[in-house]
Amino acid sequence: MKRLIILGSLFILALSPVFSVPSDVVYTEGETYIKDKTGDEFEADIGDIVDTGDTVTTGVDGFVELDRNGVVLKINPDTVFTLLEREENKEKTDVITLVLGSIKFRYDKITGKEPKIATGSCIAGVRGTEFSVYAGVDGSSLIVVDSGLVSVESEGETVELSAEEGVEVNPGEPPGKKFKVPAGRIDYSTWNDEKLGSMLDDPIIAVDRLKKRLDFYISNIGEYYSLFLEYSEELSKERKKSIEIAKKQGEDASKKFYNEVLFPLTIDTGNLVLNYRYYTLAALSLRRYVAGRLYLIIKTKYIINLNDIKYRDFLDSYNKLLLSFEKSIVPRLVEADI
Amino acid sequence: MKKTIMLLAAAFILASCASIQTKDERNIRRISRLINSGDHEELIIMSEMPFLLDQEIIVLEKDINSFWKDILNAGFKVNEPELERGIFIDEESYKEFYTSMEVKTFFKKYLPEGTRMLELKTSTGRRILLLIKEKLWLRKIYGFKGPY
Repeated sequence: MKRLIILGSLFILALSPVFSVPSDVVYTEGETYIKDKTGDEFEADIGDIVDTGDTVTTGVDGFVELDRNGVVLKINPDTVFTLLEREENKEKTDVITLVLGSIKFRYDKITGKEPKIATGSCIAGVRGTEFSVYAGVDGSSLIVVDSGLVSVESEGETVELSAEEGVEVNPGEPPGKKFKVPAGRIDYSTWNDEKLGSMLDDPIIAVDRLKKRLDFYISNIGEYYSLFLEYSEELSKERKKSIEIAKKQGEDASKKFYNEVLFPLTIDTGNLVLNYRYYTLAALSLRRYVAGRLYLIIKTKYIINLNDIKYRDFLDSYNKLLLSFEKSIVPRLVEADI
Repeated sequence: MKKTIMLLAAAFILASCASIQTKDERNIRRISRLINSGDHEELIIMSEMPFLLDQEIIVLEKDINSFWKDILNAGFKVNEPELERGIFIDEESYKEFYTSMEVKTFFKKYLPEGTRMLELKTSTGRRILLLIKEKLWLRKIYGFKGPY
């Protein structure tokens, strides 16, 4: 984002988002729901469209297949993902944010405008044609490539995966060592159960990892929001200037000023909002679908003995995460997000 | 005449309060009986989504299903439950669960008018808060806090 400095004459205009993400529901079975950005929820049906801001949830027996322009998403049972967008290199990019469960992707062709895939622990850049992403109960991720190339980035480090390779990423940590994965050998339930087991064995480590991931979101929100405030102020000044130019120099000069200064600045300011909102909503997903579920699971485990020292220690750690969330994420949320 | 009307009005209000208190006590007894008998299926049916558990907004049905099933399987019981108090929720009620924008918004967005917050006290002195709404003969649980 620090790259985003207005130099003056040249500006790449991106008025409309490039929808390179599958968004038509072509198949459903079992319990499958779409919750739109206004909060309305309905059962997914063939022909429904998944738009930016929508969340797709599948139940224990649910399955949804999305297809658009030859890109196929197979959303497995017990999965939650939200379609978000952010600005990258002055263009809006779709980001499929997988918070829980697993999705298999198949691209019939690569256009160079593939969406990013985000989980609670990493971001994957797609240059691959067939791969799966698994999001664990503790916020960790597993990416497995069947064919093509996928780059997985977390905490400033990137791992490149090619066919039959996989990598695990814990929240708040860089990607682990990549490993060989013969096709079809990953069983999500088994992998997720192992994650659950580790989480129950040491819930404080699980909370600490989530806290690190939250810090990553907070850092990005802080950066984009600060820039947004600067740009907003600048935009306000330029708007006033625009009115003066129209009065003193006429319509042609006003139009030129609008095209060269005001409009690009408006777009850039809007993109900054897009970006801090993206990280805000990603943090909310982490809170709701990973941290909140961790709290429920641990509370259930200790319900008969809430004075247990391990539970009290967990609560201490968890409350720190909550305080961090309240302080840095909540101010960027709106009621419609809840 | 005026005195009669006032007396009748007072009697009506007292009767209404007694009626509400009776309902609250009945709800506490019913839910406690379900917990103590291990009837997680009925508790699951009664639970509305999203559900407020302490400060957490639970959005996946399977999670609240697991919650009821697992705590009852663990032996969670409510001993000698008593209604400590029952109030209609208002703008400040959310603070009894947790003071946060999320919980405040949950109360505003997801709790229907007429939802009652019931405080249940057990023989050990522990308390539980429940968010309950009765609709005709149906009883719905919107939130659970505790025991604390």
